Amino acid sequence: MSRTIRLLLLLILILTGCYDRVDLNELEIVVGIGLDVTEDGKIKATVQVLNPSSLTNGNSDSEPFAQIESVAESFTEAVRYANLYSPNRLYYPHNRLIIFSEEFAKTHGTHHVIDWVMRTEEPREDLFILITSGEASDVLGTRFPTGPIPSFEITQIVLTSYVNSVSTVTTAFNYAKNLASNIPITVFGRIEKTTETNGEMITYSGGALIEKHHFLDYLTETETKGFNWLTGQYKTGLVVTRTKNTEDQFTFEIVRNNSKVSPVLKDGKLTFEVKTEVSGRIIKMKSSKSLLDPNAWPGYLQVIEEGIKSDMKAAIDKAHTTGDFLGLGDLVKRKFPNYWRDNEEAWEKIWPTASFTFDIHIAIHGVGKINRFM
Amino acid sequence: MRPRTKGVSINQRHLTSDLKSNLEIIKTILNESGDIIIREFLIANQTKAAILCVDGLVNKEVVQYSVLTPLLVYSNDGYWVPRYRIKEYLEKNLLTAEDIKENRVISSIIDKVLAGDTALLIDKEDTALIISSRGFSTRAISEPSSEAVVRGPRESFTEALRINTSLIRRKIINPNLVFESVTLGKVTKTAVNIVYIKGLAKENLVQEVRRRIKEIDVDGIFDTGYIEQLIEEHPYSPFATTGYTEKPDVLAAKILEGRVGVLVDGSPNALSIPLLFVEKFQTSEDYYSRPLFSSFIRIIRFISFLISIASPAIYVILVSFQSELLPTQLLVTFANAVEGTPFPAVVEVSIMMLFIEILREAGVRMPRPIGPAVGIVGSLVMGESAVSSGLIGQPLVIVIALTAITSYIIPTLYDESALLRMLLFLFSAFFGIIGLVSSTILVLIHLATLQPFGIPFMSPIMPLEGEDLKDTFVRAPLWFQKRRPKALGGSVRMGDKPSPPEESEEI
Repeated sequence: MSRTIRLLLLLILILTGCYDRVDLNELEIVVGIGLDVTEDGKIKATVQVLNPSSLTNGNSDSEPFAQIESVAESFTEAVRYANLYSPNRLYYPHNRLIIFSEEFAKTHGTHHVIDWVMRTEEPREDLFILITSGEASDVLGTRFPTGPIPSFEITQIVLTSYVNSVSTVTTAFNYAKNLASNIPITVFGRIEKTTETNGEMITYSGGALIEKHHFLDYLTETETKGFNWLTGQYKTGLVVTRTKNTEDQFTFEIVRNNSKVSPVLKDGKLTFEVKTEVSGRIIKMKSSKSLLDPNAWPGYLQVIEEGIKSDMKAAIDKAHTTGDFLGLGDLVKRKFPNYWRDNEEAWEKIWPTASFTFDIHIAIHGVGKINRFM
Repeated sequence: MRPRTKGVSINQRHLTSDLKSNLEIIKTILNESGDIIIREFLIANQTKAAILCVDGLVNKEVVQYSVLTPLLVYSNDGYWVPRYRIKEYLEKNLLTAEDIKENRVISSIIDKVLAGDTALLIDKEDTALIISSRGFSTRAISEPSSEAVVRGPRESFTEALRINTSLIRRKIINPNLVFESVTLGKVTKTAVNIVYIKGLAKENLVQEVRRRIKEIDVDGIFDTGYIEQLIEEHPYSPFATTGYTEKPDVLAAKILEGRVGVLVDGSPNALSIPLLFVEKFQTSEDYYSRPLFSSFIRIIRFISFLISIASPAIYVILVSFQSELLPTQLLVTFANAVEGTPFPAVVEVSIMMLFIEILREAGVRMPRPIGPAVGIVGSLVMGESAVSSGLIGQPLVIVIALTAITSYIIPTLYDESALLRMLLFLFSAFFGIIGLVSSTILVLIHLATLQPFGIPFMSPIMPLEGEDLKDTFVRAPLWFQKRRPKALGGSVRMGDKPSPPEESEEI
């Protein structure tokens, strides 16, 4: 290696001078963003940042977090101008939440935000996108008795929502994927703040439909459950049911679920086959019969099946009124590309005519430690 | 008569038959040094003679009872011996020393005397008798100080070459074990032995080592380290390609695998040639202990090596460049710790890396009693107060401590890991994660090009030798390793493991 080349290599090393280096004490760690609309129609971005010293030292004199609010004409300006109110540079990679107010999603639309998230390198693509009917900044600033940072608590609520499957978890990446693959409607998670007598409360259930970039409608819990069933996102949850005979009550917990919707094209007519394999256990029951009696079981299975089916039907009915948020068009497009090419234009008219068949297979894997009602 | 006449080399000069002039010449050559003993006397009642030896290098008992007593007492007892038969008479009948050789060349005689033999010069004879009488005091064989073991032999080499060769000879009782003697050093004339097992070590490896050692042209050799530096082919590499050990059992095992050893008189460290990368992670105890735990420990060593070279670099990357890789909770803790520290992380880490190297050097060079004091001042006072005074953040202390501890796990790799750590850190400090990756690639490329003595340094990983992997990241049971390492020949080393008797119904 010649002397010149060696010198050049050395210069490369030295002259770069720690390019791109940003030390931790020059950063303001953003953990949540809330987006609202002001009365005069501007965008209000609320950025939640951490106060590390209060968090680690248990120093209760200072607030563990701060909310920086900035108002501007556009979303990017609002987020960028938040820096004006912060001593350090705002650092977005640890942001896990963006909460939209319903108003924001109606008037400004979510596309500016998703474009920023996907385009710039700092924000995570797996941040959760949520919608609230109230003020996003208000939800973001909720005090939780369980922990100091609201964003962390809300993130935890979102992450543990799989337990009941009555809410949906949507990340920016899911949303972008839907937009890219022409799924017209995306379901966002819905978060609501209610003020009770004993304090503030956050509920995370149901969902919100966003058509392309704008708010469309809310989903009820049942509809959201149906949505989760039909898109294979149902994790665990309860089927609480009562037979006609009020003495026979039981609660079935779904532990494992494998459900799939597949379109079938027969003689030019489209049907959707919903195939669901569910296994679970009975976690509570009130019955005069013993579970050891095999004759009782078919009845139980049927009751569970009905419960699941009614959830699914609720979602399908909703989809008939609002539009296809179940991603059925995408399924057809993948399986029957030629059919899709011919009928893409008229899809909104065609799909409500398609019928659904349900094939639900239930396996009860356990009845718990006791086998009859005490 | 001046010995330093021009033209005739002093080295080639032979003895004359005049004792007096011979002694004059020798005295002049030896510069009348104070430790030279010349004792003149009469033998067989008629002939003048003299012995020549170096005080302190000879075994006085041998000189007294095997040389002087026969010469002075018994030779004057009455037998008349013809003058021309005196030398033969002394050699065959009188002197009881174990080894006697004749020598005529003055320089050679002097070399022998300076090595501890006794020379007997006889008047009217132009040949001297060299009587083996070496006996100088040496350090006793002690426990190894830098290669401590819990299990296994506890003797270590000393500074005396012959003791060292005897230690090897006792381990490998085989006529094919060869000690090839070479004298090196134009001034010091140090004895060097090349050790190998004939038929086991690859012939071209032995030849290459022999050639390189014989071509060494230097005034003095004081340690095997000189030889290592003079014969290695990658002198500027951070990686040593020859190994050293102070344990005879380690050297014996290496020789038995087909390596070549080098022993130097005056050095308690033996060289083993070549050293492969994986050997740095092997210790003798791996083989003496049972394989499961040995394998576990060996994996720990590999992990420690990686931690030791990469942790400052990774810390800088996480704190200064890719903070998004940290979990949020940890980031908060880090952010709190570095809040209020005056320097950027790069400077902090540089300071602390420098600090541990200084601390180590101080600890190593200090006399034993002061050592703990250095440790206390260094670790407690400096480490603790550096944090509390706000110079550095607390997580960095953990990182640096981890670096230091892991680098001590493999003492033979300390040099390499210290240099690599700095390289990786520098690149990471300038370029972030790209720097870490590119510098690691650079190091790997360099490792792949090393071929000490024609044997790939990274063998058996690059090139891959499936068979030899049994003794790389894990240490497979002994009977799995039926062959020696392929890079060193790969001959069969053992057969099957003796198995317990078949289970019988009744005993």
